[in-house]
Amino acid sequence: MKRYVATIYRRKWFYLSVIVLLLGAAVAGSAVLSNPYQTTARIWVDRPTVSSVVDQQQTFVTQTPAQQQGDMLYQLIQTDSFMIAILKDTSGAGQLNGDPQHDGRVVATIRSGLAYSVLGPNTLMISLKGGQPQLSQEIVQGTIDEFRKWLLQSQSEQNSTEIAYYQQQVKTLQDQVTAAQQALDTFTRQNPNLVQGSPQYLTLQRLGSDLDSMRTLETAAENKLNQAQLVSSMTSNSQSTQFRVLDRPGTMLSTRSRLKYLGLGLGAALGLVTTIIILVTWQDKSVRTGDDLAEITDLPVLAVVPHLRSRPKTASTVTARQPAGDRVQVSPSAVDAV
Amino acid sequence: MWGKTRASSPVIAPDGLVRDLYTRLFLHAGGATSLVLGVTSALDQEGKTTTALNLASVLASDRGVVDSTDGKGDVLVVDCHRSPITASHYLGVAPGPGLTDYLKRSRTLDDVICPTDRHYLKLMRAGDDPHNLSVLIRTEAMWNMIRTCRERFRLTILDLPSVLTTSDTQVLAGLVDRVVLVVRSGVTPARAITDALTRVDRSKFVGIVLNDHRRDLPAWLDSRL
Repeated sequence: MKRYVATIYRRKWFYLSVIVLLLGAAVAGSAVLSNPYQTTARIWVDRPTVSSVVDQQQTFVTQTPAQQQGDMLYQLIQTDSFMIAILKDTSGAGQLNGDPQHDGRVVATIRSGLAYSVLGPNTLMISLKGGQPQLSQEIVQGTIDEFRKWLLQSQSEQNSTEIAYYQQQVKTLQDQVTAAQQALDTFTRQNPNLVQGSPQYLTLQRLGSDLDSMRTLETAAENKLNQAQLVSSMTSNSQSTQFRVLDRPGTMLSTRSRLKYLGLGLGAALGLVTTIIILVTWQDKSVRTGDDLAEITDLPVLAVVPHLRSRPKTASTVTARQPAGDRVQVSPSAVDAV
Repeated sequence: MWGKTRASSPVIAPDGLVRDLYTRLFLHAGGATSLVLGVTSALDQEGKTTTALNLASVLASDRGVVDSTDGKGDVLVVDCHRSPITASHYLGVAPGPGLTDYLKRSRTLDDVICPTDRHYLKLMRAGDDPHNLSVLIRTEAMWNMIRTCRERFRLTILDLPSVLTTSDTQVLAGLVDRVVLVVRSGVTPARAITDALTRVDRSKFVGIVLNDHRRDLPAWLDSRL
């Protein structure tokens, strides 16, 4: 332990310099590389209320609404078209020049700072780290707007498809009801006096049953169509309850990234210095004290000559030894005086 | 006073430190009237020449302390380095004949012992042919030179090469009375010290000088660990 402390003390300025240099580099790195501003917005998301009312046989889902919407948002963020749509309505639109490669790089830079996190079952946080607070705020707001627009469009398209499908189904079933009615009427005209239990009577009963089935299916299809139309008409209204902005985008100076860089710098400096200290101490097999000598030999230490600083040479002073002994100087006048 | 004195620490001011060092050396020598001392280290650049010169300088200046009535209180430093930066360099003595010349018998001992600007401190340089030093120190002439120096000087200090860089040190350490190992704090690996101690006759080592020692931790922190 003492050897390690001695190693530190002997080269304390060197180790201190290493720490200061690496910390300085970390500070510089944090200033140059990091995005100091962080813009965040929190939104409330829910499942479509109309669907949940209308659809009595909902499929069971394990994900919370926030997770579902977050997944969707993540997938959208990964697309260049979505990101370009966001950027086009911001002050950063000038960065785009139509070149797919260039635009892709611009979008990738923004995408790397854009993130979402689930705060609760219905709460999502969208955040962006950037160097320009105004642009960051616009991008986050743009993300919310584009996401809302996409959800609305997606819902509308789905409703239109459903309506078209049910309309087609109702029309088909109406045709089938008409055909079944005509078949029954024709058979009744051709067989006015039927005897109960006769084959004709049984045929009449079957035709009547077919007509009832068709009418039931037609009624069900009409109900579905009505529901789809109802959902479609309510979609725009229901969006306000499905998707609400709780906290509008706000920007603050992020100290976390700087602290992260400083922490990394400090950690690297301490790690490096510790490694150097261990290596230097481990490598140092030299004898430094009388105790060290006592460990390797039983010879007595006759004298311990201290390290003495060199004195400037003068005409009356003779240096006794250059390499190791220039510290011990003998004055001839002093010797001769004896 | 160039160093700090701490009551709990053996670190004292250089002059006092060196006096303390040579006192210990002579005590270890068992009161010998003359001492031939080798100063070495495990590796180069650890301060052995500095230690040797400081020891010699302070002993020379403290002549009254070590002086004996037989007039052999001078201190001799023998430069056994092949390196161009040697004790003679630091004492400001110009290159010239020295140990190798004496061992080749081309010069007498008096020819190769030169005075320094310290009155009682003499120096024997490595000589003009330092590349043959390894061969020459392995001759009987070297043994004779040590014996002569022991007779003439109170203290003869051989500034030896480092133990792990040449086998010359093992040879020279075998000729001296005592060897001091200099260890530079924070530089010399423990393994080098143990290796050096195994290469030289262990009984010759009198002790270790821990050089260039710095406190790793301030006192307030050191006391808490």
